[in-house]
Amino acid sequence: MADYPYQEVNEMPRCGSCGKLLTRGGLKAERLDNTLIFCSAKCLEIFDTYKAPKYGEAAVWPESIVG
Amino acid sequence: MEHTATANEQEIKTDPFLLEIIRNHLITTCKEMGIAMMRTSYSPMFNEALDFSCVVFDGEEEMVGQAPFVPAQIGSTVHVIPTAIAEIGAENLEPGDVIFTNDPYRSNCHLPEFVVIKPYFHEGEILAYTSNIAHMTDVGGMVPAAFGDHQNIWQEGIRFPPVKIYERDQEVPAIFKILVSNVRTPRHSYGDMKAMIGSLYLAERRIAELVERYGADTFVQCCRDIKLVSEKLMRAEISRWPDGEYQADGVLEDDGVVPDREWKINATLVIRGDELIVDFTGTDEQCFGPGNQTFGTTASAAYNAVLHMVPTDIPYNHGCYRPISVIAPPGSYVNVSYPAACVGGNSDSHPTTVDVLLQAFSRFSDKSSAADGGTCGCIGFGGTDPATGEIYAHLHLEGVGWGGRDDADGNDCQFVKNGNCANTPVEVAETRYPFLNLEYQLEPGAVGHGRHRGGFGTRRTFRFLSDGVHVSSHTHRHRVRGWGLFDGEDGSNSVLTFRRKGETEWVTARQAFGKASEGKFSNIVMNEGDEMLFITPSGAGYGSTFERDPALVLTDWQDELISAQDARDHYGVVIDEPSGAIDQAATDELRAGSPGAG
Repeated sequence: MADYPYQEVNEMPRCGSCGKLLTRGGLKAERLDNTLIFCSAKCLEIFDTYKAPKYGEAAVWPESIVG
Repeated sequence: MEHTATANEQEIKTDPFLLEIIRNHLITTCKEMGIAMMRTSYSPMFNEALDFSCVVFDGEEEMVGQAPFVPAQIGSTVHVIPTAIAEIGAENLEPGDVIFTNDPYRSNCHLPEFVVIKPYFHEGEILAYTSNIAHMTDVGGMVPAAFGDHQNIWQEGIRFPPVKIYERDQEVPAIFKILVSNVRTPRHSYGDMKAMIGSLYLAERRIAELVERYGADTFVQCCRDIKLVSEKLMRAEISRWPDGEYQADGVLEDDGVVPDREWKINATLVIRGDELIVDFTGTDEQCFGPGNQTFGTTASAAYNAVLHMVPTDIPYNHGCYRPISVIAPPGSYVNVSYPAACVGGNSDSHPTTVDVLLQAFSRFSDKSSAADGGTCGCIGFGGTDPATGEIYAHLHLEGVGWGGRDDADGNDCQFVKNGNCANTPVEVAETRYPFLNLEYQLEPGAVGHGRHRGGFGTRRTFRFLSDGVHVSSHTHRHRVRGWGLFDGEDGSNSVLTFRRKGETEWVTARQAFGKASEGKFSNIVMNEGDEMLFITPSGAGYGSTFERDPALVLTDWQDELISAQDARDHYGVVIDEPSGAIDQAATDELRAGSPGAG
């Protein structure tokens, strides 16, 4: 198959904290047995200090998991 | 771990007088961009309804200049502009390039919101970006003027991921050709796009003047300090709020696809010192129709609500947003996933989201306000004008009543909180499009009563002057009313009904055309002599009705906004109609009871 020239938005990751679509870049971190992506250090901090303590495993959205 | 200086630890380095000069220069630049847009655009959507926003970002891709344009658009630029730049790559930009996107999934508000971004280069470095986000009337898709009961993004219209529409000051013809060949009003769309891009060039000249006068280093430092001042003020304000979690929720009445199914928006304000998290966990999954919000819309609604709660003298720029974090679960009503529809999320869900958050603020503050009319009143008209033979598309916007607040009644007939838009004047609409306005007035009687009552909505009747006018709608509050605060009464409902020529009965789109919703539907066909009645909802009341100053009740009666019966039933104020005075003894007796008891 020829190289495809476009990546659709459903193939792009979402920030593990705010949920924003990340078209490029991002900060990877191991959390709750998953490699998650975050749009900023601030979002990572909110995940650690608010989301994960409050929601446990439910804090991880499938769309934020990256390989 | 390396310590990053907090905003409170950082010092403002720029002379305060110079800082104010440059900050105001940037604001004036944005205003001047807006005037250029008004005077050069083709569509009433731009030059009458003013549905656009002009902003300036610095080289760090953060907002440093804005003006009183559309809050929903301004808030989303915080996300869509860096997202678009990241995707193109700042390293791939050259002087004279302009980026264009309207992709809602990339943190834009919705498909009709066209975003153009131009880098300003100085000695090979990007020092700023000028940008314009504007609501294009028609974007192709299944209805004229974009609003209906779409179920996916392809029905909504043409979508552009970030692309260069200008390269080194030259149009990219392929992009323009694709755009104009996919909309109903190609000449207007082309002219409007050129107006948007023209405003970027104007702003670039104004920034160049600043840099030439004060130097690049001073400009860059000023931009940092402009943001820092706002961040410090914002953090100081948030610090005054009590730490804790404050929850609220509210519903959208339907999605235009599943009849009578309500969709819940749940929000929790989490206050931690000088930071605020706005957590939308617990919100319903994304709906089947176009009411979903994009991430950009949701973040923007959060900023909008917060800015309603802080002093108005905090300069609005990126520094205001830094202490605010949003959590919006992907695939939910507040963070739509591809390919679901979302055009109505920015118009009708955004105001409800703001009102949900204001309800959450009311858990600890009396400075919040009751819910407003909650709809932009988006009704699209399209067809072929018999006078010119030209295909037209027109988006009608309408004011609603705002909610009562701690110090005043709600505003009458004002565009909802997500926009500072205006209605299109009757004369302009009737000159351009084949319909007449038979009446246009405040809708008396229907209002959320309270110590400070809601504002009044409007009543307007159209008569169509030609056959084949396609009418589509995305309006809200036909069943769900805006909620009152602190014992204020709920607001009134929308009414959108139709009457065929020669008939006497008004009927809803549901009754007459088998649509799933009274307010969200596509392509009802109206013919010459048919009529449409649209009544917009009022705002809700704030505080107990019996606490309302009887003199204000009397004034409302004198202005024919409420009846003497309303005055008695809702406010316990007895008006002696022949004399036009308050019967004080009877009023005292009634008010000795509780509201509604009589």
